[in-house]
Amino acid sequence: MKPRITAFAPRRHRGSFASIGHVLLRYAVLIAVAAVFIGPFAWLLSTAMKSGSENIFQYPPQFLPEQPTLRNFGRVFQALPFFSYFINSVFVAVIAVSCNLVFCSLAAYPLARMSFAGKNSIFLVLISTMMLPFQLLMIPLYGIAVALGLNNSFLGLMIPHACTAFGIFLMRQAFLAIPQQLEESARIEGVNRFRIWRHVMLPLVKPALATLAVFTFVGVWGDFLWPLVIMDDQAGFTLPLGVNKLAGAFGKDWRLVAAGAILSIIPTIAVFLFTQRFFVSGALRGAVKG
Amino acid sequence: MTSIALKGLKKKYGSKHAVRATDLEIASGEFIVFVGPSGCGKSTLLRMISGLEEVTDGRILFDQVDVTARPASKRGVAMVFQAYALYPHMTAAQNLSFGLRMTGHSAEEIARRVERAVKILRLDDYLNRKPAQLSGGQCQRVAIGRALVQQPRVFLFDEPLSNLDAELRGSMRVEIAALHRELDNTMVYVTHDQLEAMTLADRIVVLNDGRIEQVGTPLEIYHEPKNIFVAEFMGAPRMNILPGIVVEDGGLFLLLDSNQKIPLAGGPGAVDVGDRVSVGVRPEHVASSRASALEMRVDFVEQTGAMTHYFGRIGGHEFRMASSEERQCRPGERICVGFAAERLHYFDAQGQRIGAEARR
Repeated sequence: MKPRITAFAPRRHRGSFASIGHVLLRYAVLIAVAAVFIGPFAWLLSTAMKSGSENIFQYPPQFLPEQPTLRNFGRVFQALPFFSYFINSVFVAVIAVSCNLVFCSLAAYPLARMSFAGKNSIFLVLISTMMLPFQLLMIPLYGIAVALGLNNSFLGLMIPHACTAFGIFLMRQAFLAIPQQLEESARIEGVNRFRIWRHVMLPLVKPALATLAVFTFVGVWGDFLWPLVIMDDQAGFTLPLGVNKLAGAFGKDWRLVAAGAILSIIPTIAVFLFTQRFFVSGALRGAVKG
Repeated sequence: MTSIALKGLKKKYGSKHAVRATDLEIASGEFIVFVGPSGCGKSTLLRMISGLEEVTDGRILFDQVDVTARPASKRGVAMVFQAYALYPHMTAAQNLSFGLRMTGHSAEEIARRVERAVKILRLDDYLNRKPAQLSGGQCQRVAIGRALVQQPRVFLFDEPLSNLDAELRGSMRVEIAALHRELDNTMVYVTHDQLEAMTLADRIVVLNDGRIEQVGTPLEIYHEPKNIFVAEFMGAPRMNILPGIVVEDGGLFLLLDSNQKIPLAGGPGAVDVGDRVSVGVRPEHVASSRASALEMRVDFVEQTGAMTHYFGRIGGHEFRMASSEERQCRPGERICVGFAAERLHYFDAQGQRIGAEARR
């Protein structure tokens, strides 16, 4: 009895050690990758919580604040009409995201599901616009906006984000993945194209809509260049312009800038948390037999 | 009830003919089944009738009225798809009523129609479930119910049972047959399953390579196949076909390339010495017979319980025998097989039936 047990036990230990080593290695890699991604945010948070007596540029750098404080966040609200900028950002982002979801999915539906002359050419032209950097388009876009009297207006801020080639591409691919028979079934029942789009197709592309919403929101929320160009009136400033103003107004007090940046990131995180449940696959489960 | 007429109906995809000039009359209230191998054009034909597929040439008439240019929604058809095509985000009840809600029917009318479909198809227990929570058979019943509430002139079924297991397929087949008896609507049904075709159809349309090979009642198709394709396609195991030359040897015989002879006594009388013909005989009409000189080498034996299937060769040609008796020989053995001369089907060198008219 005894020898058999001792013969077996070391093998099990070897297996356990190898297994533990494997798990440790896996977690070490995961922690390293997570640190790379979370690092800048954590550093920003650390800077925002450092008191005025601390040297934020000391060497070697000190990650944890000596005397953690939330005063910098309060100072942001005193230094700026932060709430007003926040409302502006929310307004612009909500309208731009809504427009983008509606217009992109409307534009993508015929490109995915209808037959008409020039369909592929139109799609090709749309896709090719994705290769042009915004900096290239900015000047003619500004010229058009000024000619239309849209400078210093929220409409001018939103229009470049209201319908994007990327959004159309994303939604087209999502519509293409829906079984043709669902649409045909509705067509035979006499449902018109708009209602098919609204009641059959859109509910089935929620994951793509959520993805597009997040991408658009992050893009609009963090957009600095276009608001800087089109918006002179401080009453219409969005958060990135406001945070930038912090840097100028206080001789680049990075604690304040960091606190402003942290506050402006919170809605992005909230949007992601809200929409992530739609990313879960399986929205089409049961639609058709696979 | 609605009659359907197809006049020279064609469908081409580029240079490929999916459906060649097709003429067909479907009587009012008839249950007609399109059957054929994959890619024969049966689903394309059904989709052209539904209006989901554009017609390259020809006309479709419903009750003598040309509907070729009408969209699917204006033809009064309802279709049941192979993959159910239920809206996954809606419950069974919402799936049933969706089309009616979207086309402005009153709540009372919707409730009345849905209630009728629920009663006929016994859907009560899962009205509030979504498709993902239903079994394949339940999904297909909801899909049939969705067609039913439309109160269509014509029901179209595109391989509706192909995704179901064998047992469920059998019970759904009975339900669809019962539904046809109850509604008496014109029904067009596409399948590649000959058992479904034989058991459901008033008439079967056998298609191959985009053209109709034969139209007839199930028993006409079985007993008098118009050509070798139909003869081989309908029936399982498929019909044995033995080609040879007609010779005289104290009577007419078919001389096979293995030098074995099959007596043609009782044949159609339309064959002469020297003609190249093929004879066909169904496996279930073949029996082992010590009196016969026709020898079959058995390669494989398949026991199905009720029947035993023997697969082998006579000369260079595949040969099959189906017997209700249990295993009579083993693979590798040779057995003598025979069949009654009146069970033989005769086909000319082009594969067309000989003497079909004479035998009627």
